[in-house]
Amino acid sequence: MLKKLLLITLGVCSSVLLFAQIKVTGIVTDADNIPVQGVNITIRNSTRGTATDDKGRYHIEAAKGNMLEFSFTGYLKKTVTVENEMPINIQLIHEAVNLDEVIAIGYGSAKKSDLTGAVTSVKPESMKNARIGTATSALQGLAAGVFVTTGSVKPGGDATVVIRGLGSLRAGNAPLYVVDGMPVEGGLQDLSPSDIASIEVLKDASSSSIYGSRGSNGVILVTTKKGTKGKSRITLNANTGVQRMLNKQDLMNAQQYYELASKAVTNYKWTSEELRLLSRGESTDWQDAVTQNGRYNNYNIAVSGGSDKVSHFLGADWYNQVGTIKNSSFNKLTLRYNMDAFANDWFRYGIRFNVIESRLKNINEEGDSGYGTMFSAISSQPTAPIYTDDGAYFDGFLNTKANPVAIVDLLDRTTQKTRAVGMAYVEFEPVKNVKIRSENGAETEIFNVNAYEDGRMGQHYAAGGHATKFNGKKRFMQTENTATYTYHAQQHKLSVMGGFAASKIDYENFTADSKNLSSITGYNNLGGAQNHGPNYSYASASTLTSFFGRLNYNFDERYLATITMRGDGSSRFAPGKRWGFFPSAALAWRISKESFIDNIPAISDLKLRVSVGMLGNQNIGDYAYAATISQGGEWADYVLGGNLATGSVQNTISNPNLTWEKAQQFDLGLDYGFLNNRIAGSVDLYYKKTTDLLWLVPLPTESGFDNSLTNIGQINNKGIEFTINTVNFNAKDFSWTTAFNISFNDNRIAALYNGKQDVNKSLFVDKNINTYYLLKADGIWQTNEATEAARYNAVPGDRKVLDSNKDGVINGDDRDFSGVSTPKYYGSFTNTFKYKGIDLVLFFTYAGGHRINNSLSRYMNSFNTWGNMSTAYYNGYWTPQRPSNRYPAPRVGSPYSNGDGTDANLQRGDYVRLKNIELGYTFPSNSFIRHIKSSGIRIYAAVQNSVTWTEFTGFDVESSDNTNPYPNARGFIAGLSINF
Amino acid sequence: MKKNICYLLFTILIAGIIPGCSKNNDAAPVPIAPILKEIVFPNENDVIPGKEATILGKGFSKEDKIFIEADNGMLEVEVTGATNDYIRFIVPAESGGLYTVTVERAGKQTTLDGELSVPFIVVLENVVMPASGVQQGATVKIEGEGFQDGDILQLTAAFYPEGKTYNIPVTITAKGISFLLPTGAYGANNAIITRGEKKTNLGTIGIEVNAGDELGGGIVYYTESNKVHGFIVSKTNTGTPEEQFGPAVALSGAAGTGKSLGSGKVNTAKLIDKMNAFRQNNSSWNTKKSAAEMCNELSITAGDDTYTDWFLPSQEELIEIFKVKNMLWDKGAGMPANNYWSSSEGDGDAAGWSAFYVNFYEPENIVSGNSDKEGWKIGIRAIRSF
Repeated sequence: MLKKLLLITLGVCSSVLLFAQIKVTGIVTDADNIPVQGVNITIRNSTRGTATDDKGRYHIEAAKGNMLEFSFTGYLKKTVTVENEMPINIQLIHEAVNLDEVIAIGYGSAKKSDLTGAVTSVKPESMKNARIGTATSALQGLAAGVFVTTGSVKPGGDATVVIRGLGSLRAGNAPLYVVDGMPVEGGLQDLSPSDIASIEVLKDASSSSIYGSRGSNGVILVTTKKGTKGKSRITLNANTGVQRMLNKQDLMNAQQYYELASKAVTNYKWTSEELRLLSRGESTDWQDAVTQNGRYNNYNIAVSGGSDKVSHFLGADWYNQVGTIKNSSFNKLTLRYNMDAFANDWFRYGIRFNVIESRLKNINEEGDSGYGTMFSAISSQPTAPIYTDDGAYFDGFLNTKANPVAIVDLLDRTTQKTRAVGMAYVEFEPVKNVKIRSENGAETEIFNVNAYEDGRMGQHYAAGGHATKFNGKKRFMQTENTATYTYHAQQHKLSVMGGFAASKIDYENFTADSKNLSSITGYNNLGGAQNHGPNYSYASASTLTSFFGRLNYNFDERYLATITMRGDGSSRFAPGKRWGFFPSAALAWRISKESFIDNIPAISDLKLRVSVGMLGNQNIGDYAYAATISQGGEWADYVLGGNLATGSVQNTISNPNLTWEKAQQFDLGLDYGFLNNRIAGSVDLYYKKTTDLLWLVPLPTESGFDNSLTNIGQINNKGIEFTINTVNFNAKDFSWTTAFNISFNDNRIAALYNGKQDVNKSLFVDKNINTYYLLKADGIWQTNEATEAARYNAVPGDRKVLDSNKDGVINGDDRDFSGVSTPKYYGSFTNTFKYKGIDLVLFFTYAGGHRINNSLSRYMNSFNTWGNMSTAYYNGYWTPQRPSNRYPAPRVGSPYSNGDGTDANLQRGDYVRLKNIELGYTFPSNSFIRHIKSSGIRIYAAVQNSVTWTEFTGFDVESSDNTNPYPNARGFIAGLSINF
Repeated sequence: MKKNICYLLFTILIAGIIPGCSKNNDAAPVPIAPILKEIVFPNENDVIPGKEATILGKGFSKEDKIFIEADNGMLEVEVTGATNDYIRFIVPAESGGLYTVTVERAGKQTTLDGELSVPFIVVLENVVMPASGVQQGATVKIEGEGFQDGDILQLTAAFYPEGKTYNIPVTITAKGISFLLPTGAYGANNAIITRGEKKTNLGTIGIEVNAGDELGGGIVYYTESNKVHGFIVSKTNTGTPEEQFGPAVALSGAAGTGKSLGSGKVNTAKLIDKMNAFRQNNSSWNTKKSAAEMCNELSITAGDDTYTDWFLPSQEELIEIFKVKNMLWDKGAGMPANNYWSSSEGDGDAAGWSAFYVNFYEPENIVSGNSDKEGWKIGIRAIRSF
């Protein structure tokens, strides 16, 4: 009995011990290790629960074996079993889509779930995948339908953004950038990515038409960070790295060049310097001579905070990049101050202010690419020394007539920009549900390009030195005033916004040009030059006045409608043609809110969208409709009485009927979310028809003018965009998320003018704007084809060109379509892994379906008498004993040798690039960081442009200039982020 | 665990940055033999042993060594400079003949296409020849540097018999050399210094002569003012006192002769050419000689020397003989009274059929006219020039 009693006692005690309540504590943070306040923590199958405080801390009584559930809006629920390990720190990760997120839509904001248009939100943290570069370039791959190419990866180089295909021939294809309500020219290069709170890309007519005449190429809205109520927060980011040039071209060395040139050109004139270099067994690697390991560092500090009445954000950012081409660099200081204040419960006001000072040094890639640094380096003969025996720069270059090293050493070209953008707003609510807001902003930009070209750089440059000073100033001011009325009643939500805006922009600039002047004072003392001019100055201005309105209607969270209208009056058009009206309408159906779907747990969100509307493009330049008079210059001046007199001549014919390019767009989209939004994304189909394209239509000679700027033709873009974001794993300590997007675009010219099917055989009806129309290269004439080759004035070893029409003559009639230069598809693929404090990001971008004219190949892969060639050519050029079908024999006068006019230099542009691989570690908040009063420290190492898989052999598969590109680089970055 | 994480990140960091900090070093270059293009050797006239010579071309270097090589071996020479267009070096003083040239740089050699031709010359500097004519048999001094014992001075002149050279040992003096003029040397002589195979032409030494001197196979009857040039008349007439001038033909048959001093030798050559042409189509003179031919074929031996460069004097040259006919009688070379043919043909249309003569019957008056070349038969007296 005693034994039984003992056993019962033991059992009871064990049960008590087993189910004894213990105190469970921990911290809940988000993916960035920021504590999250208000996270609900409940014990499964019980009613007990708690929530995290403002530092993310919680405590709850629970027994071992209990399952704790952590949930918070917008984050995936996480479940953890109580064990011995304490504390239980939890890191929540976002759902694949946050439908409650409020995003900017232009002159207002809306919950993501309420959107009717095709709007893509870009998470600022995603932009860290491109730390080196501008905010524009960091957009690459982050939004479907947004094609971003880093046309030049030079320090300070910006990216090109095209949304949903090229829709204009002459009026530009760049989207409208709006930062905190202020339109920004030239992309986001003057923003610090750290200051960005959110980016929204408005792609379809419904979302963009609120920007009317400027929205046909899409709109990118940027909202910068604001302070938040609570404790002041200090964030310090520091990262630094090095860059190594990529894709150095494999060129012949001096010995190979000597052998080949001597063989092919018996009377080749060698200089003594070259012969001495050859005898020393040396070779000049010009690519190495002008390049170096680049360096990069970026320091950013932000202070934010606020009270119930006022919040503020102060950011300072220093970006410095030393390029991979020697002496090239870019640095930028950005200062931002944002303030929002509530004067009382119906009146608030605030400011946004951003000022930057940037300095770009010695980038020689603009202008005539045939004389840029890299092309000079590529084409300079490897037999040429850098210096002569007496230390002077060697100046015997056959092609560019310039010494590449002298260029990087002596060129002094500095571009300085000072830009200040400010906006102040007032917003008051005179009666309930009516908000009146007035935003008034201004921008001043001073742009300065100073250049001094030293005569020692080579024969191409003026012997006595050449200095220019360009000074430009832009002023912009605008006022935008809106009134918004919102009405909520039961199942009905109505929002009506109306407003008007006016803006004015004016430019002025001058260029002073002098030659033969001191190399010491250079452009700082043009007065000391012997020769002056030609000098130029210019000024222009334009205004835009607008009225706009938008109506949003939401019925029962199921049926959504948006109607937008904007009327723009632009001074850029002739009187009577200045006003354009751009309407749009959109409907959305949240199918997932329907009762027949609501009970399917797998479906979290399903929304069908359809929109239609018209947009415009007013980027035609100032005074384009008018007949302009050119005064002065060699085409206008004349001789009178033996003296040169300034003349005036009408240089353009007027076209008072000139009007906007108009883009009519239809969009059909589906937003989806499955499995509690662990899988989410969207699919969009679009069709964009752009009409009234601006084009210089040729005029009859008797008119006295070559052409007239006229509205003609039509371009159609249609495509499909697909985005999917998934949370693949969401365990206690490990998570894995994936984001993937792909976009297909089909671009076709639907009509030109006067029934023409083509313009100069470069634009074709029913073809892509960027279609290649070329002769077909067909290998190399072989020895046994000598007779046939002779018919085409060729000999074995020459490039064979296909005589398509078999008429015995190679001419323009043998050309055919040879692909397009713009990708047919593009996108990105991101995988993010987190294990405890460790995070790993793999970010891939890709594009394909296009061909790139590797213009460098025309120099490198055929014999030329004035520059270097590739090693591949040296090892593979045609000889009777070594027949090749790729590289023509080194014969001077060989027809089509360099492939010009043929498709010989076209290469597949498809690529997949591991754009960023980043490994980071976030120290837990209960680690040593407590002692330095930090709320979070993250260290990381990243490699940008690690690997690119492509058949393209040029410097960079994304470069817009393949002859003289700024070479891309692989960046090795290390960084530190501290929050206080 | 945290330590391991830190190590991992640090390793990644270092692995990432180190490759970014270095560039591949290529293998050290291996020199090859100098490559030299567009080589142009100097003309032999521009090469002087012991002096700088220039080889034009591309690819020379200041560090280059130059070797010249002939049958007797290879010799390094001193390089004095190199530019992008040439290399200069000192031609060895003892050199002469054809040499191959080899350029060495960094131990590698290239032999140039072509040869350096060095003349065999005695190198003399600051040579000063006698300023004016010297007397026959005098001791002559030539200033200059570079003379050596054993040097031989050669005197030659075109008017000396063929192969006639005076080889004169010289005496080295403080300023140059001195030597004694040998008997028989006269007129403008070319002075050459010789040393073994090498020769250097010093210039001209003028040895003065006077009218009445018996030299060169005859009697000097006329000298120019410098007494270095003049004419020598044979002591005796040529042929008989009754010799025809030659065939009298139409104007087209004229030889184109002159009358002036110095034209007799040329006249004679022209007349002989004309006779040769005449004989191609005519046989009338196949058995007899014209006056010019008779002078041209004259050979006179005096001592060891035989003179064969006689010619028929021009009208002026013959008149000069007339002027000193008395002196000639004194020297045993008198002109018997007769008319004598000159080599000067008649004026204008008379050139074909007539030639000038000088009347030596006259005691003092100079009488000279033209007469039928074939119809008249008169005397002939040959002369030489120097």
